[in-house]
Amino acid sequence: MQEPTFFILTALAEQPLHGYGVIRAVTELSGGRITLRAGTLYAALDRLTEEGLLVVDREEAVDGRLRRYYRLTDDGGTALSAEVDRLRANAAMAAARLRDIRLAFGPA
Amino acid sequence: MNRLERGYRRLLLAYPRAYRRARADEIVTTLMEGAPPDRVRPPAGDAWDLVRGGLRQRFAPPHGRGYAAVAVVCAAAAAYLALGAAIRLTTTSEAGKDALVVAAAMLLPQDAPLVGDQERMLTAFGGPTRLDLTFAPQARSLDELTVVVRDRAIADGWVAGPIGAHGFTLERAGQTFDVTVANGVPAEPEAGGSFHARYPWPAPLLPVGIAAVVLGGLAGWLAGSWTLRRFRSRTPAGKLLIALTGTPGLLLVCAAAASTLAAALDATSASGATLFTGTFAEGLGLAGVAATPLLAGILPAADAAAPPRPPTDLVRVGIRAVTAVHLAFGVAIATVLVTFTVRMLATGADRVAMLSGAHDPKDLLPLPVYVPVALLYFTGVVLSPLLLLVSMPLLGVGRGRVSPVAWRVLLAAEISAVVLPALLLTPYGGDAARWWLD
Repeated sequence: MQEPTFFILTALAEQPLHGYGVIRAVTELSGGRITLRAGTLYAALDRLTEEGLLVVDREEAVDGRLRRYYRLTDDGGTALSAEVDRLRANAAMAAARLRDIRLAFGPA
Repeated sequence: MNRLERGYRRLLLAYPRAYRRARADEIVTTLMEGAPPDRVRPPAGDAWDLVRGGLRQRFAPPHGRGYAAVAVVCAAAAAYLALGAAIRLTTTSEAGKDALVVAAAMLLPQDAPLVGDQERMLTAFGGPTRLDLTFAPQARSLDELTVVVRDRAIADGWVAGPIGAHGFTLERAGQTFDVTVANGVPAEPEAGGSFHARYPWPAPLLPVGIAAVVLGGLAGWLAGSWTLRRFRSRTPAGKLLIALTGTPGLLLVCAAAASTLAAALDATSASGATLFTGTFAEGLGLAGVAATPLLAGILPAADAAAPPRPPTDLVRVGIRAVTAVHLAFGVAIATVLVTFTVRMLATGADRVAMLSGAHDPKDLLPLPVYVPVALLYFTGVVLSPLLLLVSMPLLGVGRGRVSPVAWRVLLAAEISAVVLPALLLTPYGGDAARWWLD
């Protein structure tokens, strides 16, 4: 799973969001590292919808503008938690290696 | 709509129309909500992102499941087919290889058995044909042999260049040979001499071939991506049909490409790379590859809410069917009359001679034409008058219910159904009918 995808799913895990809401949430969650642009965002939303990880939750008209809210599906939740497990396992493994190195070379 | 929104909407034109219709308002909302209040035109980053997204939506294969790999194979197959077409196009104007072999053989003194072969230089485009003459060691010196060969060429009508280092150039009618003469063991030991001709590709093949590969590859990629996008949204049966047509087609073309490549790289191959011969397998593959986008284009989408079919109007269907049948009978009867008349005029025979059996209709018309015409003629003669009992009321009822064109076509068909059988009742038509029956 690529990082933008991961953050989009994470952003939607909490609550349904519309396009600009997703962009803001991803920027915030990634600590400003990832700023999605609209073309990229909608390509990702289309793909994730097609893969069944997202669905359109509802539509709203605000000041004459159309907002469409997206929501994580059960499959989307499963995919995200599988990714979380994978990242956690990777992180734990790396941390264990680092501990071994510190034991070997660290101050006696 | 302010200037910024207009700018964004203009950029969204990069997306396909159907996509824009469904998503443009939503995307514009997102873009406008993200824009700071002082922004007046789309920033370059957004512009590039939207154009890229739009082009991807239009031209890229769908995500995942190896679709991109299939699109690459489509591009390669199309590039190969285009290159094959380019090679055929440029080499048809090429002077016959066999004529060159004869010309080369003419150069060798006929005092010993000769052998010779020819091959294509795969990396040379334009320029002279290289001709290497090899003589078994003999009494005459190499210099002497060179002079003999050159004199024979001049006697044969070639314009020869000066001799240098046992070689010279020959020119005739736009053809150029670079001839070298050497001592050595000929290709077959018992022969007195051998020649080995190496041809370049025609010069135009280099630009034409490069253009064919680039454009063919691009077209293959676009057509493959389009087909795959259509494929993904078809019904399961439609998907199966598309896959069963496209996969063998692609595989056959790839197999032809692989065997061509192997033959081209095989330096020991005596036949010298027979490229793009358009074998049956290749033709079959081409047909499959060409049929696949058509199938993808006509098969219905899986999720398309089936539009309610208008109730079938029996009168309209009936008029169409009756018109088709009348016209088919009419064409068959007219074919008999026209063939009889044309044959009579062309051979100058009179009606008695036509009936003598010397002008058998089965010999005049090819069998695939004769059989359906014969069947329709016999049924038409019997059924046409009966069919009028149905079609004439339809003509009355149908006026105003079908288009004026369809109504007039039916009228013409009915007139033909009266006139043509009536013609068969005249003495002339009777002779034509008898000629056909005999």
